[in-house]
Amino acid sequence: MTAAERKRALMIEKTSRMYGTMGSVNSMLAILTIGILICEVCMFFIAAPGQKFLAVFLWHSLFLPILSGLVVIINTHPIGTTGYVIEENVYVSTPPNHTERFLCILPFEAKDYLNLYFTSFEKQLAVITGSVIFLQIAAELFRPEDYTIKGEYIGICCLTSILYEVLLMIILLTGIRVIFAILIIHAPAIPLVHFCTYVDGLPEKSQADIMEIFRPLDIFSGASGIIIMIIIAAAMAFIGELCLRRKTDVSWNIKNTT
Amino acid sequence: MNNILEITGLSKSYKDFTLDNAGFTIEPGTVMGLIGQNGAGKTTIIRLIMNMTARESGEITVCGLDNIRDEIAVKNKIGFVSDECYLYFNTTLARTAKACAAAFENWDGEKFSGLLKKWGLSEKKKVMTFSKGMQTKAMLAVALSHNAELLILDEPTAGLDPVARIEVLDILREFVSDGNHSVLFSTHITGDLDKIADVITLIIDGRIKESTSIDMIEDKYAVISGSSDKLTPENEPFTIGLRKLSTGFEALVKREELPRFKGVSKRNPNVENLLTFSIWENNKNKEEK
Repeated sequence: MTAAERKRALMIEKTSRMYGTMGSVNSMLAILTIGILICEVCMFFIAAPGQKFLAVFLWHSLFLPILSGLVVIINTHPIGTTGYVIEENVYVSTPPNHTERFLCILPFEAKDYLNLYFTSFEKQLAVITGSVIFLQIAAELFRPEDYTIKGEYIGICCLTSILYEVLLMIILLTGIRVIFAILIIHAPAIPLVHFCTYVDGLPEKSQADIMEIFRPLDIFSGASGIIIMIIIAAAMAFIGELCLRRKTDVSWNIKNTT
Repeated sequence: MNNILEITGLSKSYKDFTLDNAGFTIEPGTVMGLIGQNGAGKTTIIRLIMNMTARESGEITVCGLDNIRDEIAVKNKIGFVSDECYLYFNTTLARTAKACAAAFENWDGEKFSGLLKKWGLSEKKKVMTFSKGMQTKAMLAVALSHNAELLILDEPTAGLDPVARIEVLDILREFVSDGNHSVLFSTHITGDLDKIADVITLIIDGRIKESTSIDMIEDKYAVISGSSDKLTPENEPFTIGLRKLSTGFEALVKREELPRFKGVSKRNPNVENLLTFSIWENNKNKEEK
């Protein structure tokens, strides 16, 4: 994206916000980022040390980045969530694609709207990457004495975050609708959390045996994990920019609802 | 001077409909009426001009600018009124004006407020409280308040009371009066076009059948009617949209074919005649196939 394209994309966000359909993406992300970081820090001090901690640990680490991504997607693609207003005395609810219809008559390019999605994705990418890196650092600095956070657990968390970032980018570039995006994102999360909870409930020796399988994921923890996360995030942003650059003659793709 | 709008070779396919090689031009200072039956392709053409949907082939230029490559400049030149309100229902016109002022190069807030006041629309009320007619007027106020050169209206007078319809037509007449602005007006209410249009483009089943001035329609065609014995196997093929009635027949014919029809009464066609007889002719051809 050129500087002028980025400026126009953010202009759309500003216009939509003025028009009342979109909260500030930056403020939403800031709130979520702070929330994620507080949760991650609290987990080390408040959660009971020992095995049960891990399920909570992984649940938060996976769930909150997903939540931040979803909130960003929903805010930049208002289907139904901001578009439908049904009150007793109103004879019709706001039609779908409503914000796009209004933006389409304003002097913006259709590509600007696509670019806005992408700037939001880049921010969300930064939130996920940053929260996992923070987790890595916090795990090294704040680990309780009677608890050992194994590198494999952090590795699973890191790898899963990478998977979600890739999924989110695919969703963004292929234009899958939000409802399907939510289903796709949740699909791997739920069995993973159940797996973590199951492992938590096993005796320590059985846990150790199971986690032995994931030992190679140790590479995703510590300094190597941080470097890998940064490289992958930068690569995804770069690939996404290349894909965006190739999209020409974009239209608003507004459905005819009459 | 450039044409305000030029469309050439425009095509778009849907599952059950194809817009095929559509093309027409609008000169400055012209009101063009776009007519056709339901599902003919009028709204599709308008959506393609606004880049609401992607075209498959063809070119669309507004004041010499491509509507996709120069989308921003083109949107500054177009004022759009849709059959469906594009204003967000849960917000006020004051807020809408703020959004427009941030986006349009030449937004005239005073003109917008003046138009709202003239038409009795409150800036502080939410759009959802407006009637259909008021929503149309609100969209028209937005369209007229950024120094647009081309107004595109998709069924703007449907749902308006007679007084409001006349007011809208007066506004359009004034808009083109300086000779530099134009209007593209898609409607089923052909009576409005008789009052205001300079040029008519007729589209049937995704194909442009006619794009000509109102005066040329009268020069080119005539509506004839007469008793059944005036219709013969020799002259019947030269009728367009022939209707056989209990009292005789009625049809549209080209004026050059009038000598074939002896003893019939003739009158000048209006826009509705051109539309209805053309649709009947098209339906007849489809049945014969």
